[in-house]
Amino acid sequence: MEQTKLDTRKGDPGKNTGADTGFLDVRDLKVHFPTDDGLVRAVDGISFRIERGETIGIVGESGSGKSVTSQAILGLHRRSRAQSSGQIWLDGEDLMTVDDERLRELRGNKMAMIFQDPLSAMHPYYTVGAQIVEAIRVHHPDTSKDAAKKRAIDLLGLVGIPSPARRVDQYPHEFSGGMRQRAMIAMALSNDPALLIADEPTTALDVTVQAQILDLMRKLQSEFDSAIIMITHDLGVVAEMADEILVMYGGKAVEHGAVDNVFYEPQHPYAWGLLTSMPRLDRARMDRLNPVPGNPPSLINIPPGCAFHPRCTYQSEVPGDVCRTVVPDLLDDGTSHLTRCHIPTARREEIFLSDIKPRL
Amino acid sequence: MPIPAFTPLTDNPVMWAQGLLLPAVTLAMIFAASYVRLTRAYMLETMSEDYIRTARAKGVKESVVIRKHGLRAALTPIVTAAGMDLGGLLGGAVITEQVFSFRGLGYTAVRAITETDLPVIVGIVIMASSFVVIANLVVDVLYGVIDPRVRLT
Ligand SMILES: Nc1ncnc2c1ncn2[C@@H]1O[C@H](COP(=O)(O)OP(=O)(O)O)[C@@H](O)[C@H]1O
Ligand SMILES: [Mg+2]
Repeated sequence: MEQTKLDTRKGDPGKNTGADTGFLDVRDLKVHFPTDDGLVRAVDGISFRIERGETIGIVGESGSGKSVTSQAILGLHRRSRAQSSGQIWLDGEDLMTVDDERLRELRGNKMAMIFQDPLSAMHPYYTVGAQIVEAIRVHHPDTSKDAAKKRAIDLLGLVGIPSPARRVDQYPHEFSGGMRQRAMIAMALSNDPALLIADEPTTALDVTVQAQILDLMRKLQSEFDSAIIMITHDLGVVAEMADEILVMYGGKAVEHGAVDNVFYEPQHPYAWGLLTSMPRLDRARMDRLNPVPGNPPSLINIPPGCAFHPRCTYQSEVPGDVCRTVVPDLLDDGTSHLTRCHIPTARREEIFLSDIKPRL
Repeated sequence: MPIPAFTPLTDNPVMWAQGLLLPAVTLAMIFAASYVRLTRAYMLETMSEDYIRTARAKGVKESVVIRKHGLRAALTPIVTAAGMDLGGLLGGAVITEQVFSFRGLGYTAVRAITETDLPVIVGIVIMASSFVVIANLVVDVLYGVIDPRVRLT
């Protein structure tokens, strides 16, 4: 199993069982879906660990298994439809082994999620306020409806929605995209979650609103000392928000380490592709963007060997057909910077300095 | 269970209700079968919506997720179908009235047609069409009650 300890600070010492599991410690998480076409290996052995107050960014193209990972942490996959294995330690409790009722108590309470598309993720038939009130009262049934509504108004104000007392009685379709995303965040925050998972919270928003939302999340994190999992395919967002980055490809981590390592000295050819394909405003305009060539792999037929090899332009660096036949391990270069690639580390550093760095 | 026989409401309300009980159940069952299937189909669709996942992510109990979030959203198409059926109720009633030997609207309609009793036919057609119109009006009002997005447009 891969060991990805980047920070040795302890989680809440009162609740820890003694095992060194940090605040959130995901170990070798696998989520496979049996379908008519075959087994979808959506997540195939992901490990990471964060403490309160920290943010991990999970990046990767669509279909790389980011959302499935986050929903597995919340226990949202039906046991009948998904085969899951591994461990998910949250504050000393393994979420993979607790019963459904305990998971339900934790969801929306100790761990909450901001979903990707706030238009489809909010119920169209209930007011925004009613949906926040529900989130509060599910876990605090003693709170009166009036008190919960007052708190809903406070939350809407907190996330920067103007005239929250009026907005609280409106329906999601009466909100603009940015406002809806804020309402979604307010709902996720209603019980001061210690773990906040944001699944592409800004993808649908324009850049100004995006910056505001990210600002808001940072502010809330410092206020509640929450751990945040930030899922995105936008490396710029992650570089700005996260302490560490996990790059997913075909359900596996291909690179994982501190932001300074992964964002500024990436080691995996896929991360190189992602970074050099990023549009940059601070550089002279290139003629065109350089997308990573090819398409993301089908998770039913993951290519043998390194899953990225059909799209990798550096295969010739590795002798023989190792890239096509042997699955590379996620290896530590000695600085807790893990990379899953057959090219020797020293050679990768050379390529990075000569080919990649000048293009960033 | 008394053999159903029609007693006018003004004569004896209890007897009236008793007499209508079995035919009403019969008529309801004919329609219930298709509503069960319809509800099942729409619920299956609704339960895979994103907002259902959101409700689960909030920690809402599964029974509440199904009733409050799922069923509520599946209601619109079911109400539509109910509106259509209300209009067509007269047709179903013909057979039910025969079975319970009631002299109701359906029976009268058939009799009037076989005897080419034009004024009665016209009367029944007007009545049936008002039925359809009223049923659709009720459904339209219900849409607004169920779906807040309809209220504004
Ligand atoms: N319930 C499911 N059944 C079968 N396949 C699924 C299911 N949920 C997700 N997948 C598949 O898992 C893969 C990863 O999906 P996802 O985690 O949503 O990717 P992303 O990184 O874009 O968030 C996709 O190919 C998707 O089709
Ligand atoms: Mg996703």
